Amino acid sequence: MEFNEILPLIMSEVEKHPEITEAEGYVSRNSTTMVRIETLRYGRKKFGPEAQQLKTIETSGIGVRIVVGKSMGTATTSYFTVGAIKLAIYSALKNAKRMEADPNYKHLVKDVGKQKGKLPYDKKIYKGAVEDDLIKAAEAATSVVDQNNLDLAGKIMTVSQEFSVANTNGVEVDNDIDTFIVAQLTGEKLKGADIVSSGVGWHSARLAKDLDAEKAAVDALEPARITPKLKKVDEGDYSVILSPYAVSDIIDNMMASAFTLGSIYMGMSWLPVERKKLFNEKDALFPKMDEMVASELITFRDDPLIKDGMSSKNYDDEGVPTSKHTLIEKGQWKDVLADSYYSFLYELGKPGNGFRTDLVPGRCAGALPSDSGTNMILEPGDMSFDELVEVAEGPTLVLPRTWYTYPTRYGAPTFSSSNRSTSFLVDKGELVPVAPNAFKLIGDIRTILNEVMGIGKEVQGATTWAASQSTIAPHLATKGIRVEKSHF
Amino acid sequence: MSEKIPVDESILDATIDSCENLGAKYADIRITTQTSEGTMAENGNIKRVAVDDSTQVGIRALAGGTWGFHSLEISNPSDLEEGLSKCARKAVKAAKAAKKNRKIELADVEPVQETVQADMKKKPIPIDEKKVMVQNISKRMMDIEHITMARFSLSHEDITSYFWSSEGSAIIQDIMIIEGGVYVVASSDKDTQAVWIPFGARGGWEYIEKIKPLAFALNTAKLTKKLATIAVTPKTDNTTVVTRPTFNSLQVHEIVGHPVEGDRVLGGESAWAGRAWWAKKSGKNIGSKLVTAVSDARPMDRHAGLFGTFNYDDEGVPAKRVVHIEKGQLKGFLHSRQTAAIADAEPSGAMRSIHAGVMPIIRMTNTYFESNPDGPSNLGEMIEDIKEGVILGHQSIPSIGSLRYRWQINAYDGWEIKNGKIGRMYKNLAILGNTPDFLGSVFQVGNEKTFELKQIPNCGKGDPMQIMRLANGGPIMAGKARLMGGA
Repeated sequence: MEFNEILPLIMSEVEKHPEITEAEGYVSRNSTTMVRIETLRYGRKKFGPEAQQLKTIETSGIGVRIVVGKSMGTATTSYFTVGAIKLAIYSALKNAKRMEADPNYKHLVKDVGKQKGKLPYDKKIYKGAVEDDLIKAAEAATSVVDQNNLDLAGKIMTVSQEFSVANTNGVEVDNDIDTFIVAQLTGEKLKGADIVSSGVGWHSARLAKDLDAEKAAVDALEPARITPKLKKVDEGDYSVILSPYAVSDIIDNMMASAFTLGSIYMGMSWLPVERKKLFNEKDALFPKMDEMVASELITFRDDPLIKDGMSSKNYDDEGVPTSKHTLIEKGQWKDVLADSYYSFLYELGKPGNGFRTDLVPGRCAGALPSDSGTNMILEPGDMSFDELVEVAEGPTLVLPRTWYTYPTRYGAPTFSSSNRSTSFLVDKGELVPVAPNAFKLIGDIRTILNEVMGIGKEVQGATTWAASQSTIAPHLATKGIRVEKSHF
Repeated sequence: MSEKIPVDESILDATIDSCENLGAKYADIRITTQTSEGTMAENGNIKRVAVDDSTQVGIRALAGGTWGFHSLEISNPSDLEEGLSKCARKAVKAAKAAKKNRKIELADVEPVQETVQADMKKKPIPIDEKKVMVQNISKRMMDIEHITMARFSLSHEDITSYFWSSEGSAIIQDIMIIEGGVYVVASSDKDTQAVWIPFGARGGWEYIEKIKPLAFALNTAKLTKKLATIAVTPKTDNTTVVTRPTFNSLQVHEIVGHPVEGDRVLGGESAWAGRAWWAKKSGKNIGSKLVTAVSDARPMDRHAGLFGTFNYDDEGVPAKRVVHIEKGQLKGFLHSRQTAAIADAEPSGAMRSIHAGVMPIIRMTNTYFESNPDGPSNLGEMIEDIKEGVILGHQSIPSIGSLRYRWQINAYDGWEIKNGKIGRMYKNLAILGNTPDFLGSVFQVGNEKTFELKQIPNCGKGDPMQIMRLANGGPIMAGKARLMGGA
């Protein structure tokens, strides 16, 4: 069956089942092409940096959500055949009948309108004809490596995603297409098995012609050329200047999901909550909106409509036109991210962040919609980097890249992290380089957000490994980081 | 469809021929076709019932110095041949795209032709019985005082995996995966605590019966209730740490299982998962003589039903036992055919992918600390001579440096050790340390009676990220680390 024949078939089949009160059909197809650059070393052998893999992953599928009364059954299939679609509807209907009424369910989205304007996409990426371009980009990136002890590794990747969705409430989105290209590279200088120094470079665009892979390589290798003077720093509390990449790490792991209603409902958000009655008289955790959760210098938003944003999207996967959400405005908690289920349940926020995501980038019919962010942005301030160094109080670390920044338990504001790249200790205004992996960091997101001393005026985009959203952030000077001893 | 699609093996042979005719020096085909169904209940209400079916094909090819790979999802079972043909063309073209003089070499393996049945005496219970079970269990958890949310999930995947290579391997493996999890939140006027603990089996329903899902869920709910009501936060201090298998599962995973991956050791993962601090320390002592650690995927009684147990990996290499640390001395790493050729080693049978749509990568299997025949038989014996310390209960979330050297591993629960006895229950705790100091500090390792392996359903690695199932654990152990209170 052709892609565009699927939703009409689903809708006509649904009509044959009068017990179905609502239904949604969804179909997607994506293509991810990636050149993976590696440098391999063993003994005296060295291979690369070079393209180790050139791979394309095509995914496609159909998802149906069938509602009977207040019970929703789901089924997905990767088969674009009449038989498979009929069976998916039958299975989802049967699943809906297996369930009791969900007291939290209200309805699928309706009256959502259409997006004004459309984001551009790259027809060459969409057609999947990018292999030669990716190899050229990889060659340009690896050509920057000019020393035998420098390693470059990472990926240059294109993603094309296309989807259609329709429901019985009149929502209909046809063939919405997004593309992006991203170069994400790590540069490292080695001595034996030790990483002497390390840096990261990142650049993305929605159109292939706008990508500068060579710049990403230069950015990754510049810190890698530095020879650190320190292999450790003293245990204790530090002020920190987090680079955009470190801010991105914190946004992805400590902030993005905390602002989703799904996480709040599950008790997995560190944001202030209280127990209140839902419309159905059930008890649930509610966000304490309008509370101050950060310094007045902090404004944090999700913006899916940035023209060159890697995660920009016209619609979410429930067919809702996406829109900007200011989550923190001058320190005050103002908004949440929600899919239709939680938005209607809480009668809070508005749907538009219900995305079907899986591990392979792009939209995924096999996943159910759940609330997540798109381009998550920490608003820039007005300070230069030098001014941030000046305002930082007491012992100060500059952290260009952190890693494994994970909460210590579900819903905890505390986290543990590592300095992944060459860092700097500020000593009498001078930046003294510190080796990667020299220390473990302990932190608290509430302190990070509240004890802000200054925010940089330049922003940089980034994605962290396997994150479902991308970020745009400036440097952030703040407190709330402790270096812990890990040797005895 | 609601069943796996049939695969005509002659098409696979023809596709291999086609890859070679297109110029591939080596090619392999993988197909995974699966059905799955699952359900989840929250607070006694069924929250989700879902079914899914899908088929992926992926072809890897070498025609020079770069791996070419192309995969797609089969959108019509009758299009399988066409899909394979497209993957073959695209994979070989990709393999030729980079102009390099160096060729990727693969370590030799014996071709295998075998069909492997799933380790299953009993089929998973039907979806309607699953529904009743999860609903009842989540309701029973909610009956416990202070529990404010109780989720229980149960699903299964019925998979057939095909591996065909240009070297003559033709392997078909039937796999049954059953898995679930408990997520429970307990609240009191003192605190709110959330705990998630997974369970599962690579095998039939008989393994789930052994787990006793109701008791497993109720025990998890009771543990969470205690954390929210009576547990206290310990003080940060350097101390003696006794790690139970439920904690060792994450400890051995992070500080042994990942850094023995050959791709990290050679630097291939430097932009993603990181490197290994001990890459050049083979043969050196990196731990106490009581520390032995292995990966062992072989199907045998000790590993029956574990997520890391299988017959052949996704390069057609038989499952193996690989000794990583023997009496404190660093020994072998996990190797793919490619890293084995570079490192003059044997392929370890540890190249796996979550399905045929993505390339296999080196993954730990059943990776664990070995028991000590002369060690204590139980926790009481283990702690009787310890004046002060902490017992680490269930692992929760890790954080570790990119060399896998410095780390913090968090636990949901712990207990104070005071003069050889168990004292107060702890919450919000972690241990922090570095790998050689910790492994070097191990002074007690329990015997086989204390040995236990735990299912890990969520190990992330790769790009695109692949969430792999495997198993980790070991006996009860005692060493030194920094106890972090208030984590």
